[in-house]
Amino acid sequence: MSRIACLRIPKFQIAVHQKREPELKKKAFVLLAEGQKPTDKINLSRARVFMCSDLASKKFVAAGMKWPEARATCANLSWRQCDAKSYREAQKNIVNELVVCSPRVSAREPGIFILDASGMQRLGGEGKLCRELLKLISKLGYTNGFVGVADSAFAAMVASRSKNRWHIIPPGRDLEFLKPLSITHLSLDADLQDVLVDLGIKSMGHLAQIPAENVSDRFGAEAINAQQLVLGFDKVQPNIPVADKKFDASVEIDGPIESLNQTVFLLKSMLDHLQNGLQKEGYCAEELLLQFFNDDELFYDRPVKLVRPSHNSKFLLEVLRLTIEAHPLSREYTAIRLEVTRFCKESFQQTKAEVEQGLNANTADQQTNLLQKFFSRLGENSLVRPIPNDQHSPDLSGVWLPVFQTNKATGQIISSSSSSKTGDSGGQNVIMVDVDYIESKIGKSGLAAGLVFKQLPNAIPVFVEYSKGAPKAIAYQGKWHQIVKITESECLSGLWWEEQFQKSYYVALIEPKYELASCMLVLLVRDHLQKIWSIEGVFD
Amino acid sequence: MNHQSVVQLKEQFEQLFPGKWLVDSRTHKNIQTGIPEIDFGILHGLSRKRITEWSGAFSSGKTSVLRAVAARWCAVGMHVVYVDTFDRLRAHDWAFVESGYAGAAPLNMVPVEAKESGKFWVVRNLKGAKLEHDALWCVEQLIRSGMIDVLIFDLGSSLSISSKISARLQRSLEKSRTALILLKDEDVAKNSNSSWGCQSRFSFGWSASNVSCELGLSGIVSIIPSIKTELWKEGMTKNIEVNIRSHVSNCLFTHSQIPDRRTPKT
Repeated sequence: MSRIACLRIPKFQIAVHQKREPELKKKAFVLLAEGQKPTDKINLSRARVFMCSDLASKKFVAAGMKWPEARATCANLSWRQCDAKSYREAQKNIVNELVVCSPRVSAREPGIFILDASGMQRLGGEGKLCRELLKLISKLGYTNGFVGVADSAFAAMVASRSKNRWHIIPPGRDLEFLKPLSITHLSLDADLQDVLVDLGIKSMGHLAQIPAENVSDRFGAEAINAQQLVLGFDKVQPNIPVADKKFDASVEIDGPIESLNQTVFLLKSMLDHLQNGLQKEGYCAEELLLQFFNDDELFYDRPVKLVRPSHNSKFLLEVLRLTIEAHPLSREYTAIRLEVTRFCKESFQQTKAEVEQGLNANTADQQTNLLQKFFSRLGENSLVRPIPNDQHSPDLSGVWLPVFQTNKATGQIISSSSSSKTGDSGGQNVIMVDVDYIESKIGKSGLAAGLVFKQLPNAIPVFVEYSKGAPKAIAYQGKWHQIVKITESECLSGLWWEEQFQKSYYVALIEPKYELASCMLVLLVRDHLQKIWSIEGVFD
Repeated sequence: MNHQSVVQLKEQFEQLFPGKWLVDSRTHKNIQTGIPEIDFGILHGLSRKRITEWSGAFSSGKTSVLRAVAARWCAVGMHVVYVDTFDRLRAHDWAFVESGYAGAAPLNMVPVEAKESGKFWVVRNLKGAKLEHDALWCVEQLIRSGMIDVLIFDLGSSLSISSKISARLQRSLEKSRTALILLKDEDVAKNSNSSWGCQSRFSFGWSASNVSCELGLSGIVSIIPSIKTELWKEGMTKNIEVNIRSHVSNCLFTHSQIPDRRTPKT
């Protein structure tokens, strides 16, 4: 029979913030949550209290309150935003420390850790384990902790909620312990819990007594899972923690350096070191972090994304060189640090993983190198391809999509043509054009029509002269231009849900009125909302 | 010796001396445009490894002809890149170039069946003080990559190619298979000269006397003037007039529009 210990740190998120900022221990403060917005963008009037410190609770601040309401309740209340990433890191650190007490340790939800407590009889007993666990987390800065030991993880978690610092349920007595306790411990859906309470099933003992078939038929899968937990059939087991792999290299120099050649030389040796590490473990770098220091002061901190996972030091060096050329160092430096922030397993299906269909390996390499150069120097949106978008506004009926999109999960380069078929365009909303419909109605040549339009950076307002209700001449670039021919207006409006437009579009062939010059074909636009005429571009 | 034996012999020689015996469309010296006056006149198409100037007034029809030709190149599997230095293109106009469809096209253009679709990429978002520097860097990198068949460099009206830059580009071109086209907006009044190092030059302008208009139910729905073109190569010139045909522009909108829910019911 297995024995499992559960360590619970109440209000773990609060404890993490207090550990990071010790002055918060003496203050009433709350954690605010509003989606995943960064701290500087959080809307305080809409944010709600996610968790509050003990001091805040004493001043009647409660979770779920809006921030203005909580501030009205407690005038000197401070706030911090929820930071899931730092909570995960703190949990990981604790797991790494708990390995001293038991080889199998797993982190569950924030502040809950389960450990394998089997075979402790000959090692001082389970009581000793509990004391050691509490002592250890106290050393790490988490003074408030509770431990429960039972046969199953669920019973151990419930036991850790008792008032005592630790609670050990003797072997085989889990059901006896759980029987009198409320079903609220089972974290059931609110509706199901209400139904059970209304039916008089208020304790876990009541739930355990109902035949499994009846529970399944009447209350569904969730209730049967809950009953299994009460009966001791809990599949949750602690695992052996996997140590995080880290690939980084740093160099400290005696004297300051500024030259690019010397920098490249240093980076080469660092990349060789990283290449060895990555190759040994069978990994490829997906993203690097390049940092330059001047006497402990970090002044250059740049993530470098790769279009193709690689551990080739020559390729990586070229990427770093281009990055430094595109974003030069502002001053001399005394230390460099290079870290592989994201990496993936090396793929041994090179041809399939890296080459687009229809390309030979040589062309694919040329393409990858070209894309990486553009990516490093000019950014992701420098090399694009036009994709049709099913919108009626001329400006929105096509979008520019980056040629490359790196799939981090599989380490494959996915061409934007394949992603555009699914409508997933990496941030941009593209509505696919029904090409078959157009082909069936007016043929393939109906897909594209008209001359090439070249838009002006800013629409140029023009003065229009009418004759018999139709535009006859325009004042453009300080000269009168006669309208030789003009089309009927194409009236388009829409986007009332974003930025409404209501325009009439005319294609006009114009020529200067009082001098000899070539004619121009322009797009003359009447903006009905702003009540102005303008030229948005020319046809070339 | 029959034709099949010759082909087999060439294949064997190609294995021994690569790049000399089998000639495919990618290693042809000249690229055909599909416009007979250009392909069979003084020019014999556009030369690979050379610079060609494609110029005209800001609005003269030069880019429309170039788009039609680029669509044809893509249809036969060539890779075309357009360096849109000043971000003036609209994606909608170029969306089907890769598939070989380009909207307005010369009437006498020889049709081609799309076999293997080439790539059509555009370099955009070159902003800031180093715009010219970045644009030239892009052009050089694209030529050096060795995978681009035709590179179109939009100089607008403000950029120009100096003798030094021309020499550098020419050096890069000689090691590649790329044909570089300099797309240039010219001020007609200034009668500007061709760029440095150009092997051939195309000059475009609207023909005001020959304008085709498509009539709709209540008036003109499309205006397409024909295009006057002057071809120049090594001192020889030839004038042609290109008539353009196109469907009436139809929007790509194939679904019903979302109604404006703010409009009160009548």
